[in-house]
Amino acid sequence: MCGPQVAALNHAHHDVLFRFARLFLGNPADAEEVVQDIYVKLLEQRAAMPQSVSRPWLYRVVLNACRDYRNSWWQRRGKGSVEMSALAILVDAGPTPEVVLLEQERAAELRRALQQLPPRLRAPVILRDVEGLSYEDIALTLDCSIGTVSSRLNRGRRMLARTFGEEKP
Amino acid sequence: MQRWLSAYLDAELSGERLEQMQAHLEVCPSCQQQMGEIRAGRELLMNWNMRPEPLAKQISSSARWLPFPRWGWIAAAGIAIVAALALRWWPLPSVQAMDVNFYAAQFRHAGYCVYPCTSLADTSLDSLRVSSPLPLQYPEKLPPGMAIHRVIRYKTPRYEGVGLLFAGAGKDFWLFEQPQTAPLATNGQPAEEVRICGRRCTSIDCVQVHLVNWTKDGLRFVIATDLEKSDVESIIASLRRWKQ
Repeated sequence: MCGPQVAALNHAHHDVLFRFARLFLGNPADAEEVVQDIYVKLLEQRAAMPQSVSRPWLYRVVLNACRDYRNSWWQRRGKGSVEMSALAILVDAGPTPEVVLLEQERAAELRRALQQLPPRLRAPVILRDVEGLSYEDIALTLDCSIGTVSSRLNRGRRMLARTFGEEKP
Repeated sequence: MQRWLSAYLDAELSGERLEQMQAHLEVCPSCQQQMGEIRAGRELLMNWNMRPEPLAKQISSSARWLPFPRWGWIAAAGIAIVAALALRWWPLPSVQAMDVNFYAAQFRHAGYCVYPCTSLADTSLDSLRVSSPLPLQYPEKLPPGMAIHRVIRYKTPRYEGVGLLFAGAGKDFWLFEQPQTAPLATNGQPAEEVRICGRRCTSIDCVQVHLVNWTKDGLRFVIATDLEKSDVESIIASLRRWKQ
C-alpha cells in the first residue's frame, strides 16, 4: 500500500515538487496540476515509489510529469490553464511598495526569460541554480553525462543572460 | 574545453581537468567572454529572492472549479440532455439538495479563503504535519469505477487539512475536513435551520453529522467532516451505495 508513503512524500517534498514544476512550466496552476498528477499516479500505483526518496528520483518524477503535461493534448493546443504573466508575482507584503514593484517586475522578467529557454536547457538551469543540485545528481536526474550537464548549463545560462538583458529596457 | 566552463565555474572540476581548464582560460579570449555570460546567467537565478506569493494571490490564481475547457460546455450540454432522458428510467438515489454556494458563503462570511480552497502552496508543511491525511491511506477502498481526481489541501484561519476529490461515472465528490463545529450560514447570513442528511440542524456537529452532500449542475458533492478511519469508511460505503 502506498497511501502513507504518498502522504509522507506530500509532507516532506511538496514544496520541492511544486517549486520545480512552477519554474519549469511557468505558472502555479499548471504546476499544481502536475504535482497532483504525481500524487494520483503514485496512489493508484501507476508509478513505483522507492523505499527512500532521493533528490534525483524526486526531480526525475516531476520533470517527467512536466513533460507529460506539456505534451498533453490540451497543452499542445496552447491553452494552458492560466497565463503566466498574470501570475508572475513573487513578493509578499513585507518591503516598501517601491521595492515590491521592482522585485515583481524583475521576477516577471526572470520567469519570462526562463520560459524562453528550451526545456532541455531549462531543466538543468533550474536544478543547478535554483535547487542547488550537484552535477552528479543532475546527471542522474536527466539521465545524461556530467559533461552534457555542463554544456547544457553553458548554453542555458548564456541564453538566460542574453534574454534577460534584451527584456530589460 | 569549452563544454566544461560551467563545471569550472561551479567548482565541479578537479585534478587534471581543472588544471587544463585554468591554463586554457588564461589564453582563450572566446572562453573568457563565454564565462562572463555564463556567470551573468547563473547569478540571475542565484540572486533571485523567491519569496512566497501573497496568500490572496495564490488563492485567486489557483482556486477554481474543476478544469473545464470551453468546448466542454457544448459537450456538457449534450451530456446533460442525454442524462436527463436517462434519469427518467434510471433515477439516482435521492440526496438532500443544497445550494452549492452554501459552503462558499460560509467560508467568505467567516473571512476564510475563497472556496474551493485548492491552493497547495498556502499551507505550511510544519503545521500540516500535525494533521493526519487519513483519506490518503485508503485509496484501495474506492468503489469500482471511481478514481481519485486530485488531492486537495486547504487552510482556513482555524483549520487545515488534506482531502480527496473523487470522480467517477459522471459524478464528482468533494471530501473536506471541517472544524469540529462551524456555524451555518447561507449568503453570508446565519441560517436558522438547514436540513443536512435528513436532519434539521443549526450547526454542523461532526459527531452527529459527518456527511453533507448536495447536487448542483449535474455534479454531486460530498463534504466529510472530521475525518477519522470510521468516517472515511462510512463515506466510502455511501459512495458505493450511490454508485450502485
